[in-house]
Amino acid sequence: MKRVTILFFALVFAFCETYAQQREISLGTKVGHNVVFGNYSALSVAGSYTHNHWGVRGGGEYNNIGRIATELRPAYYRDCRIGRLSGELLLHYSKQSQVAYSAFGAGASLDTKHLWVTFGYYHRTIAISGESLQEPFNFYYEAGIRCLPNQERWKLDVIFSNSRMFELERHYQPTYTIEGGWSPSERVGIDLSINYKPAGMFHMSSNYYQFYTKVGVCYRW
Amino acid sequence: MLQMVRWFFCVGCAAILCTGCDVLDIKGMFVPTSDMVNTRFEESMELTEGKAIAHIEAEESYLLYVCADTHIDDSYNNLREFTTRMRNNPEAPFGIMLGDCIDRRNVLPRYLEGIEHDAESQPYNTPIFSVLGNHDLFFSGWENFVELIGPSVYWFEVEYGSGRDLYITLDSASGTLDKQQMEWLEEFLTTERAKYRHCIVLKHTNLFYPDNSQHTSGNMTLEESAVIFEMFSKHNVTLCLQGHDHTREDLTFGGVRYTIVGTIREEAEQPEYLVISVSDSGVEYEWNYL
Repeated sequence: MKRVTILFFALVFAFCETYAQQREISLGTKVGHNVVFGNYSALSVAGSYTHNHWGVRGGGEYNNIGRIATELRPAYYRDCRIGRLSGELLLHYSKQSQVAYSAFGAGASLDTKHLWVTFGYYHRTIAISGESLQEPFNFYYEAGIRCLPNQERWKLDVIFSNSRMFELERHYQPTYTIEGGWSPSERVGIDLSINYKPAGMFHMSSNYYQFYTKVGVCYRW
Repeated sequence: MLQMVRWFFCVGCAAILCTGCDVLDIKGMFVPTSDMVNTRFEESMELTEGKAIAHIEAEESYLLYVCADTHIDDSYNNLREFTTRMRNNPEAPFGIMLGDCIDRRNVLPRYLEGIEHDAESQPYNTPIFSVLGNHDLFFSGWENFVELIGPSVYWFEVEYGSGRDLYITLDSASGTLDKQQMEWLEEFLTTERAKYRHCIVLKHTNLFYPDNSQHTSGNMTLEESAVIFEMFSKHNVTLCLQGHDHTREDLTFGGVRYTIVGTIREEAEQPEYLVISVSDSGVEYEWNYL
């Protein structure tokens, strides 16, 4: 797994060095509580690169409850009358204790000044002790509203998603997020998000499942 | 994909309509109610004191009748037929209903009528153990369930002479076992599993998502599912029986057999139930239709 992660970052940054146009790297830390593991924390590194109509974002996360995750999303962008349309590929790998998940998929996004929507389909393989199981009928989504669309330095978004970076849940298991951000300069940004995930959405009787906050610093060049 | 979107749209509209008919508790799907899993677990443990709720005597090889998702509303003909078939078979020491007993507010007494022993048509008074389902919780249904049926987390054993089989019933009706139940389960399996021939776990919601039959029904989170199926593999659980999906599924993963039993609700096109032969050689299935 370590080799895959190193190779992944090497690829991302090699790509950035050769064709650099707009790059961003971010470091994040997550602190949370869920009903299975209790308190936990996580560290993540993510990078993104865009060049003309093409872009890629990806990274990895490690948390102290034995879960690691990496994700890579290459994308193609086109501007349209109301915003930006994009198509993306999704590659995800995570491992929790002895159980490994790998997923690949594709999706499309529409990003406007006030809101964005992503919708895609993915196929997941679950493996344990050499046995594997296919979950071929998954989809992922993210819907967000920008509450401060005219602010340059500040942002406040409300997000509903089952596919936050490094998390690829089943479709019936969304996370609610409020994410704020401040950019003291053009190159530096600080993000803070609070996230709540209930269990038992969709046709169930709801129960608290997870709450976490995430703080991140990003650098653009 | 288009079919999935259409399904969601239809189910969304139906859900809004159903709220007014006491069928779906929309509020409870989004906002946790007072009947949290931990509360239900604590009440269940208080009721059972952590001990087996039954010791059933059986032959070394016996039959287990299993049905799921009765969703009782106005009538209970299928449930009655299931219990009658089971109570006519002397090889069946007990039966199991895997949750979603009812489909509407305040109809749990009708479910109890459905499983009540009818001496005229049912020669044996075979007990049925019920599992808590998500529909049983709608409109704060836990109070009714615990009063009329009993705990949602419990265990019982079948003694067959030279050994015993262990049955554990879990409360997964809110899409999570929550921390207390999870810790209890891990400790219980660690201390008790080795004493039994087979360990069979009964729960309502599903751990896997191998086909699109579940697309409108919520289930457990991926993270929690992983912890559970790793735990079941580690403790050599023989079989995990589930309902919820209304569609049959039978797979083995990590050495554990996971089976979803279809529904016997009145409206079902092909109501089905499962008869399991439990013996030294393992478990064998016979699917039956009403």
